[in-house]
Parts: sequence; C-alpha cells; structure tokens
Amino acid sequence: MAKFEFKKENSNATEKIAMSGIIDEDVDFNILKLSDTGNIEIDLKNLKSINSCGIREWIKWLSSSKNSQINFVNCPKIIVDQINMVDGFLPTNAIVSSFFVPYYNEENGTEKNILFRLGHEYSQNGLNSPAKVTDDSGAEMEMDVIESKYFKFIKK
Amino acid sequence: MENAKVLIIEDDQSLRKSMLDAFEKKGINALATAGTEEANQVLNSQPIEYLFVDCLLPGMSGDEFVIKVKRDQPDKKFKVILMSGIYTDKSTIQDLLKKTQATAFLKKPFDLEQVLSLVKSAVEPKENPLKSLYHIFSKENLTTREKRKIIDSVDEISGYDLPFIYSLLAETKSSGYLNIYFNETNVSGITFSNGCILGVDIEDKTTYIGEMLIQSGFVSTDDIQKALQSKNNQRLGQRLISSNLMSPHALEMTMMEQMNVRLAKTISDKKVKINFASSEVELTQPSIDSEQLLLYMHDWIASKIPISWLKNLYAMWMGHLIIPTPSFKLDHPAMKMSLIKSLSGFPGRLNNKTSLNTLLKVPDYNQTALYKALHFLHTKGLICFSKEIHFVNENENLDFINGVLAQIKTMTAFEILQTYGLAKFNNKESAKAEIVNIIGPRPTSENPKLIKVWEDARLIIEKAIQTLSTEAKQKMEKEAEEDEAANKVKATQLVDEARKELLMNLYQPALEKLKEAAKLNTNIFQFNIYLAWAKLGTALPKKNKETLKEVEMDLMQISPDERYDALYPYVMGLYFKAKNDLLNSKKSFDKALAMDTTFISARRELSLVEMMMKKNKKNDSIFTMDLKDMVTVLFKKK
Repeated sequence: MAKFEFKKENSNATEKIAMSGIIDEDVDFNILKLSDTGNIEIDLKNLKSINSCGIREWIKWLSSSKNSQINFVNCPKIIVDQINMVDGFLPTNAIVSSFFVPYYNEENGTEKNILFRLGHEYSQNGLNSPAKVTDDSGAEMEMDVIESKYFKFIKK
Repeated sequence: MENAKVLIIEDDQSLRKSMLDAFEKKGINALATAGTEEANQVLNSQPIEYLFVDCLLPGMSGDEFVIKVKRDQPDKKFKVILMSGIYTDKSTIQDLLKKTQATAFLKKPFDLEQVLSLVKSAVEPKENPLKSLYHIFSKENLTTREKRKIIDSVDEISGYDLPFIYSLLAETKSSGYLNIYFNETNVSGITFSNGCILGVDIEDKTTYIGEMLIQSGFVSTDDIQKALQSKNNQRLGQRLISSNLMSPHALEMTMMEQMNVRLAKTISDKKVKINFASSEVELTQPSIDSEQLLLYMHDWIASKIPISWLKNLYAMWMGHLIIPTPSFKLDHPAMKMSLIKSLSGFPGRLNNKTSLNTLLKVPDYNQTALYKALHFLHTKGLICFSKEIHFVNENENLDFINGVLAQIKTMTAFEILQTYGLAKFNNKESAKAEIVNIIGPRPTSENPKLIKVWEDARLIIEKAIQTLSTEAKQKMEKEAEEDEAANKVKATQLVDEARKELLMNLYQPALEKLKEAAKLNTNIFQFNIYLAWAKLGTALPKKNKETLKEVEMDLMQISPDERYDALYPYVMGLYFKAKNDLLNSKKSFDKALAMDTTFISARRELSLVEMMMKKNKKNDSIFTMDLKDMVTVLFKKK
C-alpha cells in the first residue's frame, strides 16, 4: 500500500509541497503546517488515492491558510473528482494550474493521462482540448471521462 | 443556436438539410453554412468540436479553408471531417487527410448513420445511466475500467441504490475507497479490500462501539469506565480486552454489527453522489466478506428499501425477461434467505426464464416480498434482465400494455417520467427512444385492439416527454418534494398518535392510523415495529395465522439501526408469545427490560409469560400427561 509521503521546499518565495501515496485517516496534516500568507504550490502528481477521512482532513488543513495563494499542479483524476464533488476541497484562495485527463483507446485498450494546463488546454472560458491524442502505436485515443462532470470545476 | 457542437459547410442545400435533421434527431446541436465566409464567423463565435466540410465549395475549397483556419487560428481545436463526391481516389484522399489533419473522409453519397457515428461523444449516453448500472451483471468479465466508467457515469443516485453499488464492488473483488457525498460538505466512505468491507466511515454518534457493547450485553457501563481509566493509547475495544473485561470475539462481533448498522444508515431516501477511488488496501479483520454481506444485504433490502421505490425501479423492466446469470444456482445460499423462501417455487420459476409481469400474477405471492426478493437476487448479481421486452404471445402483449396504460392514465407527466426513468434524459429524442423498452416495439400483428392500446400508451408517454425541460423538471421535482414532505409530516403525526394508543393497549385504532400513515409514507423510523405491535395486539386473542404471517413480513422489514432500543425486543417478545414460544418470548421481554428498566408494558408481559410458563410446567407434570407426551418430554433432544 502506497504510504503518504511529502516533500517541502521553499523556492523563490513560493512554498512548494509535493505529495505522494494515499491520504487517509493516518495522515497527520499537522506536520505539514501551511503559512497563512504568500504563494504555495502543491504538486499532486504522485497521489494515488484518498478516502472520506482524508477528504475531511484535507479540507480542515487547507482552511488553516486562508490568506495565501494556493496553486495545485499535476492534479490526478482522483483529486479532480473530489474538487468537483466536495465544497471546500478547492478553497476559494486556490486554483488548479494543471490536471490530468485520462484518454483511452478501445481497440488497443491503451490508457494515457494527458496534462491540461491553465491557459493552454483550458481556461475559465472553457476547454481547448488537443485535437488529437494518440497512443504509442499512433492509434487515436478518446477522452475517458464524462466531460460535463469532469470539467465542471473549471467554471466553478 | 448557442454552443453548437457541429458545423457543416456544404453548398448542396438538400444534403445540408438532411445532415442538420439527422443531428437534431440525435439531440446534437449543429449549424450549417453554404460557404466558408459564413463558416468563419461561426467558428469565431462558437466552440465548435466537429467540422464537416465539403472539399469542393464555390470560392475557397474546403481543404484550403481548413488549412487557413488552422494556420491563422492555431488555438482553435476541432475535428475535421472532409466530404467529397469528386475526389474519390485513394492517393488524393490520403493527401487531403494529411494536409488538413482531418480525422475522416466521407465519400458522397454517404449514409447519415456514418455521419452520426463520427460524432460519438454526443451530449449524453444513449442509455439511462442508472439502467446501465443495473445492467452491469449482464456483462461478464468486467474490467476495473468498465466498472469505474459505469460508476462514474451515474451522477446523482438515491441512497436506496447504494446496496447495489456495495454488492457490485464486493462481487467484482474491488479494493479501494467508495466515497459517498450526502451533500457538498458531508462525505462518508466505505473501505473495500478484495471485495470485503473493512470499514465504514459515517458521522453517527449512535453507533459508538462503547454504546453498542453495552447494548449487546457484552460489557457494563462500569466496565467501560474502568477501561477508560487505564492509561494507554489503545482504542476502547482493545483496552477492554487488555483489562480482561471482554473477549476479542465479542469485540469482533460488535465491530461487524457496527459496520452493518452504519451501512444500513447510508441506505435512505437521500440523494447521494459517489466516487470510487481504487487503491491497494490491505485485508484486515474484522471484515464483512461475501458470505456475511449476503445476510446483511438481505436484511437491508427487506428492511430499508420501500416497495414504492422498488416499483418505480422495476417499472422499466416489467416485461423484460429475467435471466439467471452464471452465478445463479438453485443451491446458492441466497435461495435459503427468508425473502426467497417466502415465495414458493420462486428460484425454479426464475430458472425457467420469466418476467416480473408474469410473476406478479402468481396468486400466492406477496407483492412486497416479490419485489424485494427479486431486487435481492438482482443486487447479488444472480439475475439480470434481457435488453429487450419479451412477450410469449399476443394476449400477453395486450395484457401487459393494458396494464401500463391503466397505470399511466392515472399519472401526471412528471410521475410518468420519474416512474420510467425518463426524467434522467436531457434530450427528448433519447427519452423517446426508451419507449420501446417500456411498452415494447410497435406490434407487428394486425390485431387492431393491440395496435390501439400500444398507440394510446405511446401517445401518453410521448406527451409526458414533451414536458421534459430542465425548468419543468425542476418545477415538478420541487412540487413532488413538497407533496412528499407534507405527506411525511402527516404520516409522522399518525404514527405518533398510534404509538400513544399502543401504549394504552388500544390496538385497533392504532392499526387503523398506521394503515392510513402507510398510504402516505412508510419511511418513518420504527414504522414496521409499531405496525407489527398493533397487528399482534389485535391478533393475540384470536391467534390468527394470516396476521402472524403478515407480522413476520413486517418484522423482516425492521432495519438493523431500528433495533437498538427496548421496543424491538418487546415486539419480538409479543410475536414469540403469539406463536406460543414462551421461552424466546421471556428472553425478549428480559432484553427489553435490560435496555429500559422503566418499560412497564414489557414488565407486565414478562410477568404474564412467566405465569404461563409456570402453568405449562404444571401441565407438563409426568404424573398428569399421557404416555406419548411423557416419552417426548423424557427423551426429546435438548
């Protein structure tokens, strides 16, 4: 089971946190105290899963930093799902700078996660998804999410 | 038109119109222009996803136009489909595809179905997502992705759909976290490991382990106090074990029961959203395995899911064949459960392929038990429904449509949409396509009677579909919610009055009030306990067998979370007393009094039962009984 781990560093006045593993009841966010001002970047690329206790802890943790500017990068699907469903999972002082969108090719059964970046593949006005995504064999892949649900947060 | 998904550039007016009509019928927003200039304006004003363009257009050719737009406006992302009746040789087509980066080339004349198939990710799935969910067991060897897709596709579900989700995750040996959102701020969760349930996280103070251990009689309040005084960081259960105040087995049993009660609490009329986060989860104990889940599932379906909800759910499969899945076996443990056993010969009938419509006509079958038994087997993945409606003969077809017609004639448009799952659709054409699943395809027979009823039913349903708009749905939903809330208030008042009457032994008026409440809403805490109590009160003097059978059904419908106070064992005591099982009756009254020492009715019944037992004992004296009874008493297995 992927244990929760994090790395924290300060770079150019930005507090950078990279998380990996599973966020559940065993995660103690107290050791990851956030500053209440300045910029915070949270990289979620290697986050594997989150359960209901983890969701509650996450909300509590982020609400402790109301005056900072939080920037989520590399959000996996599991995080996008929570952002879309739970109030406060993405606090008002936070934005999603990039997130992954699963793609799938039905014939080959290939899966791929494509990073959508703010200002490139999406903006507050909507999506600007890549015209064509292919797998390693060159076969065209289709977006593997329900668009009306998955991209709901963009217009939130 | 706002937010068109498709733009067609075609100078042939009739083809342009046919393509537009085809898209409209499929509920896909499309626009069409005859030339590139107008098309350019559309592209600048709308987020077009698909561009169907004729290669030979007056002025700038279609392929040149595509190349120009892609060069001048690289931020515009749309799929290009080229069309031509002139360029048909392979090398030219390949060259055009390469130059324009088009995804397809349609040689004229083409079939409109071809056009539609290129716009696959249309506005909504063809099938009602909830129906896809309940069709899941008709598909063998589902991959994790397919499961996830189906769960993902279901947007908002009823809490009553949750047992199906639990069963689906258990049957498919899933590992991970099922997050359940009761609203945007309240999230609960269930942890699965290889199909076993390891934990249930809900915010509920009534299922604290300490409380439950006391209620189950494993420990006393003093034991809890003693354990809490011990200075260590262990959880309460572990402290009780370490202090030798309780056995590990008792803790395991109570923790399982805690999960059972908590899971039962999630099954309600509340709307929920779900999300399954698959993850590796280590299997720990205690856990609810498939064997245990079968028992719990039976209990939840019997006790928590109202018949009205089941009737609504199964309306869309009424005439469909019930098909046993490969897991269906006549000796499957599910066939030994009370709901199934209460319907004589039920598994055999299912094995011979039948429909709900046919089963409802079996004279001895209790309708509530039938719906619940069917839902139980469906939830366990032992049966599924055929894709198409099925009739053995014309008479059955006529009978069935007449039944539907009689029902829908009394319904409002909203009730029709809700009952047949049509309210889920945002698009009228997709909803209309569902009609064949409700009343079957238009009969091919010449029978005018059959054709007429079919047409009548179709018209009523189509008329209801015409009201399908977001605003109308919201308005109707609001009205229905208000009606439901008013009914619930009335029903709660009636149940409360009935409860007071029951305490005064006024069984008949209490029973009448409860029956009246049942017409309004049965989703009231401990409703079935009061109903059973009232029925037992009226039946006790006569010991009416029919009433006892009804009471058994009521008792089966008492959910685990309704059993944690003195009332449940008290009513069980009355039931055993009515059945002349005095020993169990006494045990139940004892338990009721242990839970509530001030429960006067329980004390009075206990005294009565004890007196009856003494009297029976006297009668059982070997000096007074006949030889046969004496042999039974002396040699019967204890």
